[in-house]
Amino acid sequence: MTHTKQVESLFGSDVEKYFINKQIGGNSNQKGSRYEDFFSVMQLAQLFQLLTNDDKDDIEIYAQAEAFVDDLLVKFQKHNAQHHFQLKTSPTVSWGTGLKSISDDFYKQKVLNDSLGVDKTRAVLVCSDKEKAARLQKNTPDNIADFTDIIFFPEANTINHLILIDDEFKTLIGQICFSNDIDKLEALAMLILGHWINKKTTLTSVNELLSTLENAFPNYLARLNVTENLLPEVERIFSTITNFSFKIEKGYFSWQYHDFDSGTIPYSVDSKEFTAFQHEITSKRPRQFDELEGILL
Amino acid sequence: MSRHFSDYTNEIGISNLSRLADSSTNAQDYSSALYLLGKELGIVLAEQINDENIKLCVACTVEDADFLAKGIIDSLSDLYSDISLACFWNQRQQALSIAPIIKKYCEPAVNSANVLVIVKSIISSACVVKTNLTNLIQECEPKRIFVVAPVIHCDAQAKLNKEFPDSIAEKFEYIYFAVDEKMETNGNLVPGIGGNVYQRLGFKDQDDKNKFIPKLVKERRESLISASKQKVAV
Repeated sequence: MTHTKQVESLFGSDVEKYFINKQIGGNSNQKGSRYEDFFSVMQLAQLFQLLTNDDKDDIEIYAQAEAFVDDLLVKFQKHNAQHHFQLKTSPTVSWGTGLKSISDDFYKQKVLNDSLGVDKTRAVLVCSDKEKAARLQKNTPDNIADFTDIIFFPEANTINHLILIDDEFKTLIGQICFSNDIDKLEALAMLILGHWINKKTTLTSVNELLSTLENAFPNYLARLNVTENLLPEVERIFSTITNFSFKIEKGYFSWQYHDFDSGTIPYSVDSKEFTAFQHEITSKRPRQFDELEGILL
Repeated sequence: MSRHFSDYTNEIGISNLSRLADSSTNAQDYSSALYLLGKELGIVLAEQINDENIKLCVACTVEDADFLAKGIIDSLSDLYSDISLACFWNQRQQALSIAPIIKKYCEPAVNSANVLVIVKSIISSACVVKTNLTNLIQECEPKRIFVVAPVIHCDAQAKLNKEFPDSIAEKFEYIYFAVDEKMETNGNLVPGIGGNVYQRLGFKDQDDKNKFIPKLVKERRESLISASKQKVAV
């Protein structure tokens, strides 16, 4: 369904032309837009946590939506709510006034959404300059203040760089990853990024995006509902190896020997690969760490 | 051949780089060339560090431990007694440019190291170095970080630098002998180190090299365990 005619009837033909051009310009800018893609990865990490068994098809995400505030759109169907994001890396970003200004885009988005029957609109300006974001927050125009937020999100060269400079990004990825080690966080974020870049023009269901990720191997996603534990015989063998300890957390097995060797089996404890690993332990019956460590790798 | 040598390179370095590039060099001679290159890189490193009051950590990957890293440690051991080792087993996924760590050997003294030497037989995409260095800077706060390799790609320094905030990247000091420009579609540099280092050292593939435990790790771990037992006995 197109909103173009609705825009014309609400705001006139000049605004309609601007609305159409905004989509064309936006689509070309989208290509290779690292900042937008990294921000989308963070949004997806948040949205994955909101999916519940009852609401699996509730949330949709759109890159370059048909909208005034169009860089990223998240629709919560069940709550009839829409979150619109506009991302800005320019140091001269300002609210402005009149047609084509950010404040006017935000205002028109709210009017358009109200006319389309959207119950709750949230418009977010995402800014890569922390001080600028604070100033924009302070100077938010009155006519958009009720539904507008400003978020600081830093520009980064790579996902590794982003994890090192942005604690919020690191925390959100950590909430869905089986480990808090940066190499695993990076691996999961890169996997989400790859899926997002490949699917963003064809897939809008957040649940389907998560499903495609879950089918990747290895996928580094925490598995919170896994109840599998070690075979009693494997546990007994491990208990005889001096200074060896292990834990199963978020569905994955990690181990430590003294305080200098450590590792993680990169597949979850409910996988067939982990079953094969346990069978190898019971068949080889290692009695000391030297005999065990080749199996742990 | 699009290769340039750095000012650190001498005849021994050039000769051993040629042995690596030569596809007829067998695994034993190949590992010997890596060890000798490590010794030479260690000599250059010692000149660059030029400070006896340091706590040094040498970090490497499993495939580089027994030859390249051992050579560097042997050279540095003449001058520094306080050298700790970190060794990583990475599971590289080239398509995503990631190399998660599946096992790590990290001596307790790594935490207090103030000079970090990260060693790799070749640095091209810098993916593995980035991963292991990121892990290490969560453990210690080095004042100086040396990135050391016999061969690097011409874009490797820029690629590695951009993975880190400036406060970290400005500590990087690169030591290498050769810079190659040509990269094949499989990611191998030409002449590089004569193809894939795992296969040149006799490993079947990545999984095979990740099941390997280097002699360097076994020996150093054994001495740490013995030292701790003696401490308890005393």
